[in-house]
Formats: sequence, structure tokens, C-alpha cells
Amino acid sequence: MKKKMYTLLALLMVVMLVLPACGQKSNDSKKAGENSSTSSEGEGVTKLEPYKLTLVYPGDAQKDLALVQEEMSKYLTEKINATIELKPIDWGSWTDKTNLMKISGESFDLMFTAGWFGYGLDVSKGQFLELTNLLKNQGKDIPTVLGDDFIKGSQISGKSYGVPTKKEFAQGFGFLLNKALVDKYQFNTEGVKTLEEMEEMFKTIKENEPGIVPVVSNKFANTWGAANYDNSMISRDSKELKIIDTLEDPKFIDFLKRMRQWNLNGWFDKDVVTSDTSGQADNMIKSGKAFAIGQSLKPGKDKEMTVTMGLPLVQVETALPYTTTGEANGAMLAISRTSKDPERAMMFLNMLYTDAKLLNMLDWGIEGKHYVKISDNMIDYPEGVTADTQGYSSPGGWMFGNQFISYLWANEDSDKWEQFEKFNASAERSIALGFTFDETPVKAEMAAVSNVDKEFQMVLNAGAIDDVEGTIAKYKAKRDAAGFQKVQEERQRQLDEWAKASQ
Amino acid sequence: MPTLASSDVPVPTVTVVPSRQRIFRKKIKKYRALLLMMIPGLAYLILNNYIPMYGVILAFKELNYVDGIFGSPWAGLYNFKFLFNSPDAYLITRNTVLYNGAFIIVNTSIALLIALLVNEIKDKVVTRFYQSTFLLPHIISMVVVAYLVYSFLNAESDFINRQLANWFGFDSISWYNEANYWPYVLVIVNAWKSVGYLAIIYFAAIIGIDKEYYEAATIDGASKWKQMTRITIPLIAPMIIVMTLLSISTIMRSDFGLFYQVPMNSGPLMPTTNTIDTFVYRAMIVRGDIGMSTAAGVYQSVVCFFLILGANFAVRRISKDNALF
Amino acid sequence: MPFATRIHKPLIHLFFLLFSVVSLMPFVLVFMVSITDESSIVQNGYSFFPSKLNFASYQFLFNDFGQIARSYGVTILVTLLGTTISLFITALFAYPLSRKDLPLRRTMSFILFFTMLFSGGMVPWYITYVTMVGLKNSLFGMIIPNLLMSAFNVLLMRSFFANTIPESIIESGTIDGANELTIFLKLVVPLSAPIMATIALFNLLAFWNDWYNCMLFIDKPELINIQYLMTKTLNNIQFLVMKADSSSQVGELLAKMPTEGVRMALAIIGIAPLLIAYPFFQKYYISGITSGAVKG
Repeated sequence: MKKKMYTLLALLMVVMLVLPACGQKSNDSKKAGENSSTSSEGEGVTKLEPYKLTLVYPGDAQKDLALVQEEMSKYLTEKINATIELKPIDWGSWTDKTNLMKISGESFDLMFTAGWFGYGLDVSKGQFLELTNLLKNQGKDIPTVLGDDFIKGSQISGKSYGVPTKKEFAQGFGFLLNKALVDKYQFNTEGVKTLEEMEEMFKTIKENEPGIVPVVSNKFANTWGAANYDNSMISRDSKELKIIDTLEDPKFIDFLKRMRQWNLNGWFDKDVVTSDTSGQADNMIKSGKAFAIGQSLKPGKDKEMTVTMGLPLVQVETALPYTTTGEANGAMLAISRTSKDPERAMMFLNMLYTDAKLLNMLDWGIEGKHYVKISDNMIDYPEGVTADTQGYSSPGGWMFGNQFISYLWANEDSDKWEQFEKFNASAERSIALGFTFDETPVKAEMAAVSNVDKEFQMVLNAGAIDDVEGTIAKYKAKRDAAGFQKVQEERQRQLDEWAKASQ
Repeated sequence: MPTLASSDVPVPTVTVVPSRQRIFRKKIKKYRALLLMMIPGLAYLILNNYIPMYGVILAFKELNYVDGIFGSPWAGLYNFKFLFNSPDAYLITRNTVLYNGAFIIVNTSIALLIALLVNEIKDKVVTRFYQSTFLLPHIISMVVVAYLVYSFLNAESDFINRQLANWFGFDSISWYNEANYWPYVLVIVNAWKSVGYLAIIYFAAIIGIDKEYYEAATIDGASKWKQMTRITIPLIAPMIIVMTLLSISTIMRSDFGLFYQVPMNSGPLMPTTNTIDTFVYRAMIVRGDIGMSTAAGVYQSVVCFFLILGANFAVRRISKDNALF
Repeated sequence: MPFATRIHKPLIHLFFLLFSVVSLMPFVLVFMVSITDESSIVQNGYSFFPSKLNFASYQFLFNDFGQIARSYGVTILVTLLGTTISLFITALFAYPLSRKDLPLRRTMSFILFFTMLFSGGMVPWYITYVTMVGLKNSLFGMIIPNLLMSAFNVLLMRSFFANTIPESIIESGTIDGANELTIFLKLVVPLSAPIMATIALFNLLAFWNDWYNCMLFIDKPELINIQYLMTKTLNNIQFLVMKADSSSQVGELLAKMPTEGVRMALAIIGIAPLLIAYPFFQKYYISGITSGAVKG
């Protein structure tokens, strides 16, 4: 009796799996038959049909993409009888192309997403599968690797729709400084500096280095804001889950006045309102014409930026690291509703957190061709290959799986991941960690408010306007006219609901 | 031999006279070759434009991916709300319309001037050189133009502030902070970019004028100026009218690159640079919502539609042949 | 009068020279920046007379020469094919519309013009082409959608036909017993060289400059056209700048983007062949105009 039931069930499974795969190669089923008889390890693995996974992520199509894809497929066939199609989409066309994929119901399995990249929106529109059961079965290693905070932080109303990359789980705040000048004037960059201490540095630079701008770009205001408020909504000092308006917070107003003073002191560049958008800010750092630029930090950030900017930089902190929902959902992979085999997709995800070989293939390409190992977890370019001539430059380790098992490059600190562990552990958690605001009910107001924000924020951040309080008043009036109060009420309502549910 | 368009034929009540329908059928038969010629174009319009028009319903839906375009719940006019509830609703509409109005006037005048003057130059090589240079700005992408404008206007390494201010003795201006200058900047950049294109159209129209007119005029002793104002301009007037009508049909739309990238998305400039398209774009950064962007498109289309109906009606009153439809 | 004309001539030339300089200068600047040493750009900004020349941008881009050559091939093929078909369809649609006694003339004009006002948006348009026509990853994906026949060009051509082709010519053709197609091809087309050349030129520019269709419809690297290959970097930068506040990773991505020299070199590579081909095209264009004028 029991045996009959099992065969019936198996048959049903086969039919269900084969049907959607009909469009694919006809010899698939034959291969599957062979496979099921050979592999016989563990539970469900025995009956796996061949399946092609599609992974969609932002980035450039690399010259050797097909090679890497093939190599990964070979490895995956061994492990979970799957092949993979890597589908990078240019950043600039991401919005258009993925919107069309989602609306037209195109079938794909995994997609990169993030809080700042439309995660909440896609979840509210039903694009991503809820992962609770899959995480219990096929992806059971993932929660162990990530830890509770990470998983909870990335959830929406208590449910997971994506698995976050294990990477830095907090943001540090401060400046990147020109190292030559730091050395020249023997500035101390250890520990957390107050704004007054920073001002001493800027003053010194202004007085002694006439050709050099002390602070370039208005980015620091954002950095400072992120250090003091969770998503500009909840004060970091507050123990109470209460939505506030930063424009009414005396601390924030004082800060804006300080920015005005910095501007009057001539510490900013002349184009401070636009120098980020135009790329001029970066150029001035690169050419050594500027001393400092605001920056969100993590361990080793200065080393990374030294490489990309081409001149030695040091980082200095102005606040202790802080963890908000934005860090937890800063980079994730989600399974699409159009996936034909979500279980397999989750198996693949699970491997990205546990299988160093697979992850490093995706991150860095093929060993011997795109990189060579110089020690256990350190790699470098092979002979004769440079950053410009490599065939597979990484899409970014921060996008996939467990970054802590990803290899490190020769120019990085060999204890980078230990530093990260320490950093993650040391960070202060926001009391609203895990709260994601669903904008749907107030999307009309949000849209109008965001235009008002754009009009006033940058000028205030740059201290480029005389009457700070008057401008804030104008800003507030216009924002209210756009429906800001309704947005605030909705935020508080959702926050209360979230607090109740998460207790 | 003027033949009346079918709709204008008065319907006689007497049955002996062939009915309106029969005349129409006869005409169709007579002109079937011409109508057949239009079939490829018509098929294309249906495929490229008319079938996809069902998408307009997205403006009235709260789209979710699971239910798709047709299955998603209706949202009434909610998607339009962000446009009209915004304190900027009037400003962005005004900016869009006024800029386009200025573009029509400025670009048309300069383009006409160029076309008329090029026509005066008889040296082919020189003409060819001028024409190719005028078209150059048209093929440079707006993003690159934005960088170029920035290199001229930014305060750190700028050309205008350092050089020209020295020469002419005015104070340097913080261009990306002062909204007042931007109507001029944008009109100039736009003219620079599109005048060549327009001039070519007018030039083609001038070239098409029968040379006999001029010969006759020269014999009569008409001056060059007279020839220009009495022959050339009246004869290309239909072209000018059509071009203007076509511009009116896009008067609610704006070139995103010109209004977003060229001002470097600078906040203080928004009072004079924010248009409907940039407003929608900035709104969508927060939340990419297809329903809302479709709604904005519908708003633009509807306003243009009524404007163009009015303009076309006016033109029809004066000269039926020059109307668009 | 001769005296007056003599004064006018230098003035006209002066005007045009100024105008040419204004049109040409930015272009030259783009080119100069593309061959300026990066350190010099970073130090001094853009300059017509860079302190240090460097062709590194081009070396960097031509590293992947195979792809660039192939993309040029795609663009040239698409442009030639597209321009021809487009000119054909446009003229065939515009000419009947210019005939004042055509039945349904106003309806047809309206059907045409209405497409300039209303559109269903990108989503249904894309779905139509991908599901009904199957244009994904096909060369025709860069020819047909939106580019094949522009209502603007049709109306332009219609006006030209209506105002320049004397009705007497068409009547004479009818009396001779020629059919409409013959009248069109033998009598009207030769008289319409200026507008044909103009529309052909516009089509050429439109097809050459288009990257949007390529972005939407093409996924395969071997079918990517030169304009998209060159534009996507600028698009990526623009997108990342917009997102720069939202993630620290984006800042890193931005810092790694190609330098300004490379961006300008991208612009040059995208349009240079067009500039080289343009004089040849123009030769045809001018001769077309004069032959038309003589006959008129």
C-alpha cells in the first residue's frame, strides 16, 4: 500500500516538474532519469530534475560571463542538478528592464533587490515569494549564517521576502581626509571626533593652505543625518518609537546653522550645491585640491577609496556605528513569483552562504584564469592580467550571499572579515530595526513631498542660503501643502502596528 | 478643381441625386490606388500606437504584478492626485508651457533667419560647410551637453565667471544657485541644439519654391528684401504653420535632459527649471510607480489635445489646407 | 540694389561664421577633453589647450575592439535598412494625404496626428512587440518600434507635397492615363528631392542615435549597437548619482566609473563615423536639392 502511494506521489511530482519544463530541451527528461538513479544522498535531493536557474542582478555583462556561467553550471549540476544563467542588467536600464520583466510575467528565479532599490515596492506588488517555509527547509543554513538581527531587520511585517547579503551590518559616519595633509599638520584621526574637533582641522587648512578647499560637497549633512536619525524619522537618542520631523528638532536646526557658518567661513567649495551631481567633488579630492569629504564608513573604507581615488586617504569618525533597517536590507536576493522551481532557487541561495567555491566563482570568476590564490583566502590577478584587461570583473561581492567567505584581494587587509565581525558587533541597533515603511497608502503625498525636499534640502545642507530659519519655515510650509502631515501620521500608525506585532 | 470633402457635401433630400454614400463609394473606388499606398503606414500605426493604447488604463489602476495590467484593482483618479495636490502643480505646468512657447518663438525665428540667409549664399562649398556645422549640436547627447554647460558655468574653474567677468567687469555669478538666469540659459541651450534641425526643414521648403517667381520679381525690379518678404515667406508660411502646430502638440512635454541634467538637478534652480516631466521623475525616485507616471502622461496628452484642437480649428478658419486635420 | 547686396554678403558670412563657431566649438571641446590627460582634467577642468595630451581613453575603450567593430556593423546595417524602409513608408503615407480631394483625408490625418498626442506608455508597447511580433533580440527590434514612421515626418512631407507640387502636374499625369503609383514615382518623387533628402537625413540621424530600443529589445552582446554601447556608461553614472544617497555601495560603484576623458571619448566614438559619412551624404543631399530646384 505504502509503496504504491509513494510511486504515485513520485509520478505526480515528475509530471508537475516536467510540465513547465516542456519548452526546454527534449533530452532533459532522459538525463533526469539517469541522474535520479545515480545520486542518492539525503532527503529530497534524489529526485531532482535538471533545472536552469536564472539570476538577475545589476551590473555590466562581462567578456567572460559565458565561461563563468558554464563553470558554475558544471559545479551546480554536481551539487543540485541545476545549471545557471547569469543575467546582469546595466544599472542605467535596470528600472525599465526589470519593470517590464515583472509586468510581463517573464520567468526568472532570483533577483537582486535592496531597501533602496525597490524591495518594499516589489513586495507590496507581489513580485517576490514569501520565504519562511523555504528558509526552514532548503535554506536552513542561511539563518544560522546571518543571525537573528539580520533576518529580522530585512523582514516586512514579520515575513522574509529576500535574504540579505552577510556584509557590514552597520554604518559608520565621518569624513575621508587627504592623508598628506593629515600627516603634514599631524591631525589625530583616532577615535570619534566631535564637530568642534573637525572644525579645528578645517580652520587650520583654511589658514595655511590657500589653494585647498577644507570640505568639498554637501554630503556630510546626509552622513550626519544618518548618524543621528533612523531614516530621518526617529531620533537616535530616543528610547521611544516616535516619528519626528527633523526640521522641528533643535539639534538638526543647529546643525544646519553650523553648515551655514562653514559656508560663510569659506570652508566649502564654491559649487557645493552641485559638485556631487557633476562629479566635481570627486575630482577635487583626486587632485588634492580638497581636504575632506563626508562619507559613510566601514572598516577599511579609506583603503578602498585610496585605490579608487588614486591618492592616500584616511577616514575619521564623527559618530559611533549605527544599524537601521537600511543596513539589514541593503543588499538582498529574492525569489521571483515567476520562478518555476523556488525550492531549487533556495538550494542555490543556501549554497551562496555555505559553499565558498560557488560564491567565489560568482564573485571573482574562474581560478587560474581570472584570479590566482596567493594564500588560503587571498587572491590576486594572474600573471599579465590587470584590472583593465581582466575578462570577468566582479559584479560586487556585496550583492551575493555570505561575503565573509569571499576571497580577499592582495591589497586588502587579511583580517578584513574579523574587523567586520567586530564592527558589526559593536554597532548600536536602532530601536526601529526591522521596520519598513509601506508607502502605498500615501504615495501621492510622498511623490509631492519628494519634490519639495529636492528643492530645499541641498541648499540647506550646503549652507548656501542666508536665512536658515526663514528657509526652514518656507520649506515646512510647502511640505505641509504637499501633504507631509498625512505621511507622518501614516508612518506613526505603521510604526505602532509594527511595534505591537513584533512584541 | 475643388472637390468637396465627403463630410462637407450637403445632403439633398431628393432621391434622384446620388446619395452621399454613393458619392463616397465612387470616390473610394477612384482613389483606391492612393488609399492602398497608405496601408503599410496605417498598419504600422495600429501596431505601434493603437494596440498599445490599452495601457492608458494603467493610469486608473493600482497595479500589482500578480494580477497584471487588466486584473489589478481600480484606483479611480488616485494616481492623478500627486500632480494636482502638489503645491507645485501650477508652477510646473506654467514652466512647461512657457518654456515651450519661448522655444517656438525663438527657435522658429532663428531657424527662419538662417534658412533665408543660407539661401542667399550661392557658393555651394560654403553652404555645405555651414549646414553641417549647424547640425552638429543636434547629435551631441544631452548628458554631454550638461557636462559642457557645467564646464562653462561652474564657479570653480569656469570660463564665463573668470574670463568674461574680467573682460566686461561684472561680478561673478553663482549660476547653479540663481534661478533667475536659467530661463535664458535653457532657451539658449535649446536653441543652440535644435535650430540647425529646424533650419534644414525650412531650407528644404525654400529650395522647393519655383524659381520662376524670383525671375519674374527680378525683372520687375523687386529688391532682395522685397523678394524675401513678398515671395519666400508667404510661400513657406504653410510650413511654418505646420511646424508651429506640431510644436503646440508637445507643449506640455519637456526634454528631460535639458531640464534635469543641464541644471545638474540643482535644488535652488527648481522654481525655474522644474517641469512636468522632471517633477514626475523626481517623484518616481522615491517610488517607481507606473500608474502615476501613466497618469501624468494622460494629463499631458489631454491638455495638448484640447490645445491642438483649438489651434487647428483656428488655422482651419483661416486656411483649410494648412490645418493638420 | 547691387550696392546693398554687396554690403549684405559680408554681414551674412560673418553671421554664419559666428554661428558655425558656436556650433563647432563644443564639439571640438569634447574631442579635446577626450584626449586630455586625466590628471590635467582633474586639475584644470575642460580646456581647448590641455597641458598634457593622452590617448589613454581610446586605448582603454579599444581594448574591446571586437565588440566596438561589431556594434558599428549593427548600427550601420540598422541605419541603412531603417532609413530606406522608413523613407518609403513615410512617403507612401504622406503623398495621398497631400491630395486635397482624397476621401477620408481628414480622418486619416487625424488618425496619424492622434498618435503624437496619446500613447499607451512603454509597458503595453513593449509587450505588444515582444509577444505579438517577437522582436526580442532581433535586428528589427532596433528598426521597427517607434522609429519606422514618425508622424512628424509624415506631416512635414505632406505639407511639402501639398505646397510645392503643382496640381497641374498631377492633372497632366491623370490625363495621360498614368495610374497613381506611376504619377507618384515618375512625377512627384523627382520634384520632391529636397524633402526626401531632408527626411532621409532625419531618419538617418534617428536610427544612428537610437539606443533606447537597443536597451529594451536586445540582450545579446553581439546585437548591441554602437550608440547603446557608448551611452550605457553615461546612463549608469546618471542612475548611480541619483541613488548615491541611498547606499554606501553606490558611492564605491560611482568612484569606479570611467573617467571624464573616457566619457567624452565615448561620445566621440558614438558620433564620429556619422561625421565622416556626413559630407558624402550631403553631396547627395545638395545635388538632390538643385536637381529638384531646376525642374521646379
